[in-house]
Amino acid sequence: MKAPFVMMAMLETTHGGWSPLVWLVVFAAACGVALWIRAIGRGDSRTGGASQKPFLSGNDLADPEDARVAASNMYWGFTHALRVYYRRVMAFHSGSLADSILWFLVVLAMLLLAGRVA
Amino acid sequence: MNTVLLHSPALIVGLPIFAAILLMVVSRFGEKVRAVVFFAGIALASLAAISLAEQVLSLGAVRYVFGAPSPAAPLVPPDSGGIPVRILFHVDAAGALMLLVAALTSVAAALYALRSEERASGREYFYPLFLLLVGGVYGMVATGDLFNFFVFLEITSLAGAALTAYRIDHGLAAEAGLKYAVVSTLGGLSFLLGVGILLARHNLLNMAALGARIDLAGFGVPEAVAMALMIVPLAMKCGAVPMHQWTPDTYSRAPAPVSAFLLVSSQASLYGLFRIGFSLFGLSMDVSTVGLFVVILAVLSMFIGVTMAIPQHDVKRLISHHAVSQTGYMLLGAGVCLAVLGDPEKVRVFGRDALAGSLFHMMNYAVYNGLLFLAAGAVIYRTGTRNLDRMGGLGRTMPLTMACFGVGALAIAGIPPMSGFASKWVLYESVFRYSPLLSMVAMVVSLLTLASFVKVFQAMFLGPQRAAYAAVRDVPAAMWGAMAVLAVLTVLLGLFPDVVMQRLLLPAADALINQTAYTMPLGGAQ
Repeated sequence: MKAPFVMMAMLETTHGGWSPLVWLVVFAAACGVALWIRAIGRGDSRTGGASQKPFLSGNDLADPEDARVAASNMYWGFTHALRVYYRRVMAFHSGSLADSILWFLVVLAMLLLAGRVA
Repeated sequence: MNTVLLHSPALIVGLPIFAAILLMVVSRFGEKVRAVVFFAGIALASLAAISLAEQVLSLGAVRYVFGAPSPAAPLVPPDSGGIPVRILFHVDAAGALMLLVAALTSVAAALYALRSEERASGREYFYPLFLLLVGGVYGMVATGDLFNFFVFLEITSLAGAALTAYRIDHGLAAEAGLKYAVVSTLGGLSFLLGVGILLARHNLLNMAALGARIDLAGFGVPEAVAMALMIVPLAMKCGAVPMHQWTPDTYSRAPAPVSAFLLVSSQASLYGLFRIGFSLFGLSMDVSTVGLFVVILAVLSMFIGVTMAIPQHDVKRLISHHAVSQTGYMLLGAGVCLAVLGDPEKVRVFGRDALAGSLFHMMNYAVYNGLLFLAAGAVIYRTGTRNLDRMGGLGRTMPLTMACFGVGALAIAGIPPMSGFASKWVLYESVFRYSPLLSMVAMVVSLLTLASFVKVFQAMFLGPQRAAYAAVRDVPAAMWGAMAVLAVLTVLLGLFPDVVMQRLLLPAADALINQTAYTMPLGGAQ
């Protein structure tokens, strides 16, 4: 028999279920394994040396503040690969009130037509 | 106490509006009196809303009438001077869910506003407007009357526009407020036109009575036009693509607590859309066409919302685009349920779960997206910048804000065991039965959301500390306390989803699906 607490946490749907408490137990076990692996590593690896120095693409940085990728550049590859899509979707977000009103009328007309056709 | 419970439907609207008026009188007595009246108005209205929700969930739907002793009384109340005016509030389990969402979020946002706005001028206007916004949302959720819904929609629109423009912000906030006002007015006029058509055709404004009449008389061209005129503006007000362009401007320029509660205001519009789609027209209309239409809006909202969020570097604008994307999830579940509403077997197998998942996501979204806006506002409050490129290393000096933002970010990205995962899980599973492709799109959007919030979290809190922010400290207790309330709720909703599902969401989904229960003749109930 399941304990009431576990039952409260078990989300049962028509086709399956989800138990956050079981997930938490598994997550805690995984964390435990990770900590154990870390504990059996070399104890002297964290003491000084080049491994602690900030660097970017192998280059030393004069200022540690520069050791970051700017938020705007973080997914440059993604946005560049989809540049055709982004060019159009950015143009669509013109911020113009006239465009907002136009799109409202377009959607209204589409629903009216869809209702009429149906 | 019984009298208070009996009149809680009136109190949820009356208390904030009364406090707003009282504030105009007591403003001259100083900031402390003003703050006490403001917070008391919000807190008491929330208590009334929670007690009303509890009453509905325990005893069934509540009908409360203004202008007559009971809903079953003669049409012309004897003390009305012969004028047949009365307004009916009708709160069922779906309304109770929205009341709870509004009650919890409004208290957190108000608590936060007490400190975040203390340095701003014009608080004598800010507080009454915020109270009107809260009262308007409660009214939209509780009313059973179409014209009354329009009135509350207008109250929230005007208060929301004024609050968005409140800081002016070199004209940017004023522009965002103006956009919100114009879009809301357009939507309000369209909605009013739809109500007018139904009134002219059926001589009724009460949603339950109208639903029953349309079911009996049939769904003709005037009803189809009225339906479109009412559903489209509500979709626009909740931020569905392609009518969402106001959303990033408004949410990003409004003060953080206003952004957090504007989300709930948008949810009230979404609730109105559900109410009109399911309870007013329901099976009378071509549900498969309208459902498919809602599903298309949902997919566009999910995908365009998240892809627009990724390149943003203004943190509030980024979260605003995610708000559009998250609205898509809610529309998806509701659209799927609406599309299969005519097939009881499909409703039983997955339609009911899809709608419950959609309502669950509405609840979670109001909490975690509100939390994200408050946490972003806390960072802006301390650093004075909203540009992610200029932030960094704030986790060392603002650990509480970082923890709260982390909870919200995990939830919106659908990472277990946060609340966002539970609602998305229900949606994925149920929508998969309708169309595996839609479910896959929802999962990809969730992945992109995670990528986006990895960027935000890294840019704001991780990396080397910036010298400019070395002296920055965490926000005052009232502000992080408000964030903590929402963070705890996010975790609890994720850890105990079945309690919410069984007690709140499935009854709410049933209340929407079962049109007959909503449209049953007046009388008998309170």
